[in-house]
Amino acid sequence: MSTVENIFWHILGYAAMPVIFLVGFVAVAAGSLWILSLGADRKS
Amino acid sequence: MKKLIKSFWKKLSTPSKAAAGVLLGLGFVGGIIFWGAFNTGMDATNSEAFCSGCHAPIVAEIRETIHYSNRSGVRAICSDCHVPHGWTDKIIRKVQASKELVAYALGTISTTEKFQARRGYLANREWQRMKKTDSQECRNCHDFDFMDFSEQGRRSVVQHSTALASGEKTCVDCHKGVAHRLPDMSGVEGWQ
Amino acid sequence: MQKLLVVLLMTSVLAVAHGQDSGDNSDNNQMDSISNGGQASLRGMTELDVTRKADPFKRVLKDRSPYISDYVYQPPLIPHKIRGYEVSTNANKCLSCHSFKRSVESGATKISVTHYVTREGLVLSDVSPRRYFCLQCHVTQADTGLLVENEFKRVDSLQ
Repeated sequence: MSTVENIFWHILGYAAMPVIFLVGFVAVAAGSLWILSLGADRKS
Repeated sequence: MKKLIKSFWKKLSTPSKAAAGVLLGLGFVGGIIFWGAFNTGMDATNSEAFCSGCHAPIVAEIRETIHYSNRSGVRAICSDCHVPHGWTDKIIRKVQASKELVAYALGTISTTEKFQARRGYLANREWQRMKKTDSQECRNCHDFDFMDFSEQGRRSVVQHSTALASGEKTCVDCHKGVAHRLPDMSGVEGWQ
Repeated sequence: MQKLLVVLLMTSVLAVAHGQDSGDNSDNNQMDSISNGGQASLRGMTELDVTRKADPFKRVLKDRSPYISDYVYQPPLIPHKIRGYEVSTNANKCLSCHSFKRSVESGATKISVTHYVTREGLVLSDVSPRRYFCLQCHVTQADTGLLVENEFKRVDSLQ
């Protein structure tokens, strides 16, 4: 693999790490909000 | 789509009526589930069965070798050698694996003939990678510092205590072909 | 008279033929197993048509000092394990230590110069194709005692 390609994959790989955490957070947040909505006040 | 994001953001930025403990607990459990699922996915893409899905011919070749079946049953599968163990390096390699999807779509090694023609290039790429990491994947299991030379054969003792110890050579320089059949070795440096 | 003789002859021929071929094979258990004639072999005294329990595998010694040749022109025995060593048109693992170029670094015995010569005696610049597949002549030795008792002695010059 050429150096350029090597650097390219390193950049992409490191960029993927926060993306993984962000997506993970969004998924957990959405799931938690949904669970919370189950127990929310119902307007009578 | 934009509406969805707006409503989601609204929900996130509005104080909740639920107790703090409930929110924290949800976050904690959610985090655990996320991390577990992520790692399960990682392990699934590291399994022999997953790699075999596309790379069946070369997985078949390892069946004759010592890393597949041996006296003690301690073995190595595809990911033990081809996927770095460190987390950051592993993620980089997994992202790089998207290149394989492109190759799959293009059918780069979709027939036996194409595969055989490309073997030299593929093998060389892996050897270069291992050279660059000083055969880190080998060293993940075969720790040089704990090699018992009194248990090794004469040839191994000589080679390991000189070239390997000095750092002049790395594992893969001599141990080519330990896992898969060799490609055409003419022109490969240091082979013959 | 002649007719009677012919009839008798035919009957006897048929009787003999019938006697030779018993037809069905179901009476095998009445037959004795095919004897080995009292000749012991590496299978012990097992009868020829009996399958006996296999011996445990014999191991090849991991790495020992070179063997002394038993006769002149013997392809030297391989004193080490060769599991997984590929010898194919793509790669020859033996030569990666035993070739002229690599033997300096590896400390292994160089292959004999006879391996560079064609059948007609022409010397080539690399290993002759007829000597390329090492394992056709060179073998390892199992870690076992004499399998067959013998009194073989090397000639004086090799002892």
